Amino acid sequence: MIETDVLIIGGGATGAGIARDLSLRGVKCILVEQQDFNNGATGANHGLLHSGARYVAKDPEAASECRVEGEILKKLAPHCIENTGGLFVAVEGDDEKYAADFPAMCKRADIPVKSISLKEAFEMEPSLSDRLISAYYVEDSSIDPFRLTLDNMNDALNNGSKCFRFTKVEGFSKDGRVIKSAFLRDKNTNNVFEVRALQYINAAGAWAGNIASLAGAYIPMVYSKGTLIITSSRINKRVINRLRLAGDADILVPGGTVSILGTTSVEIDDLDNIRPTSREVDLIISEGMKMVPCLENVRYVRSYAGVRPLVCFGEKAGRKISRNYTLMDHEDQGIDNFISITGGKLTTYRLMAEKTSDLCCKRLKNTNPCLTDSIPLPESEGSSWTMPGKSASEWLGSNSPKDTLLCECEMVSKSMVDSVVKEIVSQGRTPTLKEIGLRTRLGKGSCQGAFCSFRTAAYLYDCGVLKNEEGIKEIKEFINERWKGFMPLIREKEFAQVELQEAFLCNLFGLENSNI
Amino acid sequence: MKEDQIKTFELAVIGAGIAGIASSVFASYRGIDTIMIGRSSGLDFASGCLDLLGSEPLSGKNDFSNPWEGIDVLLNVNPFHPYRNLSKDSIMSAFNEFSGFMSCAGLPLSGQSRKNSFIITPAGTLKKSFFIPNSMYEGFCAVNEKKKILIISIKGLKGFSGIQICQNLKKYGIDCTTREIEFPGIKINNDLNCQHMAWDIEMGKAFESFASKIKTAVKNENAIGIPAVLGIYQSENLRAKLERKLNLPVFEIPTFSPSVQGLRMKEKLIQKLKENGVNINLNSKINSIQKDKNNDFIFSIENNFHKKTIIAKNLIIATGRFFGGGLQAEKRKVFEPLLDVYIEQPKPDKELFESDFFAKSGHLINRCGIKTDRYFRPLNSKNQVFDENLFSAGSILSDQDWKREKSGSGIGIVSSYVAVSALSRSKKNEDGSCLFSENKENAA
Repeated sequence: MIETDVLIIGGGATGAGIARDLSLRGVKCILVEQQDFNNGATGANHGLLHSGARYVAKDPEAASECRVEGEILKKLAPHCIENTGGLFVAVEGDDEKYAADFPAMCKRADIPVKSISLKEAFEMEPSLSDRLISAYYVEDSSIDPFRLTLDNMNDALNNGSKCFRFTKVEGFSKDGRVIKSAFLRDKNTNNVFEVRALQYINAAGAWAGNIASLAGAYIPMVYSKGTLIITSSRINKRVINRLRLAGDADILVPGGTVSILGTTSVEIDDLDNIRPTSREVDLIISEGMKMVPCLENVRYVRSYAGVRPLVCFGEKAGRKISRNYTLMDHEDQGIDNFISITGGKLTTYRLMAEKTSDLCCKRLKNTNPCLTDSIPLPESEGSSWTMPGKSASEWLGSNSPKDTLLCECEMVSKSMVDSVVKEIVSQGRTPTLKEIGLRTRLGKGSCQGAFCSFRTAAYLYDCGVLKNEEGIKEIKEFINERWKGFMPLIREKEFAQVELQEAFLCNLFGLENSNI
Repeated sequence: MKEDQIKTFELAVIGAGIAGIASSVFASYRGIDTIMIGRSSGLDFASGCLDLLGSEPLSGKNDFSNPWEGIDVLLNVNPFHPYRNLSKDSIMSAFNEFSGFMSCAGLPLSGQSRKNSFIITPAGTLKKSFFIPNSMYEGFCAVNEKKKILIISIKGLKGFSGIQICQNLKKYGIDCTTREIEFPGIKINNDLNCQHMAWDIEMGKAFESFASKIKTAVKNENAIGIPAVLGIYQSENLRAKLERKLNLPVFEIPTFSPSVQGLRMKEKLIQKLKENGVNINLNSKINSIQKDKNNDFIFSIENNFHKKTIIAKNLIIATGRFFGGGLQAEKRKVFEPLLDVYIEQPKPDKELFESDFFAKSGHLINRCGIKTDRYFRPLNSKNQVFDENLFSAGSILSDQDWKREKSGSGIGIVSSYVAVSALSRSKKNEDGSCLFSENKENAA
């Protein structure tokens, strides 16, 4: 039995943000995540720090929240943000009235906006369509959600919080209106253990409905799947938004060395097997190329899909459901120490954490103020190998003769794999190729893992990390994880790449016939 | 660039992978004046084995110890498979003819006439194949004779772990162990590359010390497996020399890309084809293929040095699939870029790929390709022969999945054999009308 003040369920940006907020107020927390950090929507979105301009028509309040939060984050977490600026552009055929009303709507929500000439727009972003009819400049930016969560979590850990990854909430024990404890299952050992807390916070994103029902509460969840695709090189300097009511594939966000195009919005019934489809990819490209024509012919490296956890109290559907967050105290449902926070946007994760922590602290009678709007987010060193270009420059810079590359596309060397393996082993776990892939850029380049997964497996055998037939299972799981994001993108030259991959893995190694 | 010259051939083979080489071999043995044009890029990744049939993915049969029984299963499930066009006896003759050529070129193969054998792969799996390079066949023998096997690992050689191989071979009850040695020869940027190592062993001074290091590593084992790095041109001599020095059988395990066994095939088979009188043009660009007034194919080929006009009575396209450039796709529509030969598209409501990369059935796209008549002449959308003198061979053909079936070389050899036999018979019949009039009704 473990005791703590607060048990936070969910290791996305919101959960990690709450852990940091509470720990800065002196509250002892434990965070539990059923997979790895950022497994849900935090790891599968645009990485866009909204200026708010996208929401001015439908939800001016959410728009102005975005602006305020964006300003705070740019000041306090600059290492997670690339301050790119953004454009809103309309093309021939788009609603001209919406375009004309746009500056006034922005003004009403207090969102800074500047009308620019088409010539200026082309100078800023030469890849824009020549069928542009109007353009505005706004304060959009791109943000790295992976670093954001990890840095929040690290700061929380440094302030005395604890976390359990790959650990699932199995149920709660209750006494009248009060949750006494939660039962957690360690997915590696399969052991169940009990955590007793004063307050329980449900920040499980798309899984919040499931957690609520385990606690005997109810959240009217609607799951909206969004698919995005990543180009192999960066196309735009600034965020490019389509100037119209929010629709499919109308945002192109630059991030590091790539650009990300999306999204779609499709309601789905269950959370199993969330994967992008080739039809969605075709739709995204055909819409995206109306703003930026070269999107038709550029090379894409990966597609992915996330689920927006929306809460719907009425009978709205699709994009009409509010993208704003929902904070529930569940007192009307007969529970006094359970809080759910869901919906919302990455841009407002800090505000969501603050509001949740406020409610939680009020119940705990803790009067310390929120500090996350004034104390900078410390930058953590660990797990920064995911930054595009970092492993390449480190490897070249170190110039160590023994440190050869396992992944030539993304320049991941043996020593980088060693450091990740060491970190995972120190947490008492056996590293998998998938986990190494999450912490480095292994398999993210043009071979999509065909060569590097095999080489890394061979290396891990040599290091004694893999035994028996584990390597085959590892390679198959790693390749299938990459395949999930690559398969929908196979349209032209990519066919050749798949053929090469199959020639090795199936024709030579016969891995499809091993039943592991 | 040199002046444009015009050259006339009985047959032009486009493609220099297994199917292109096999077509040229069969044609040269039949006295057909042949030119081969191609890139042979696919061979860079070849294992050196000649597969016939290992699996039938549609019915889920994945372990044919007898490939001939496998062919019955295959044709029952998939009656349009390229193997439909040749009797088993003739398939055996084709294999014998082609492996005879490989032997003459210095790449001898072994196998059992009624059974598949296997090679040990770097993943520690056993790959079934029909004809196996002698250098790898020793591994099959060592396993069968229950010898104690030592796998030699080389420090710094990526993608080859003796531990991985031994750990995975345990489940077959194979008694093997591994030891690591340092490679005595050159290293470039401290990275070992199999092709450089092979050069170094053959041309440089690495062989003796390499052999000594292996000798020191051996304890009580009685067969030695090493990564395939024993030279390129003299590979069989070098292996014999190593066996004498160790007084033990030595076998090679194919390595990951770029492989030495592929390089050996490319170098030696093409050299031998040249000796057999085939005109070879590698790395040339082919410009639009047309028909002249004599109904012959006419096109130009050019590289950095010269440009030639080629006239050929018959044409075999053996350009491979997407990797070889024989097929291309535009927004998921598949086409054949050289002559725009008809390719039947997969049904639009079907997914081209399975959501599991390793799905046992294989991916639908792999079965898409050129449909042909029984002589491997491409058919158009109305099931009519596209051109009397146009043939296709190898993986570009439809209704097969060579990577899952383990039938790549077999399809290349069978289709080349049938196509070349057909066009050589039509040559003897002077006008060819007799041979080809008969099949119009059977075209589909």
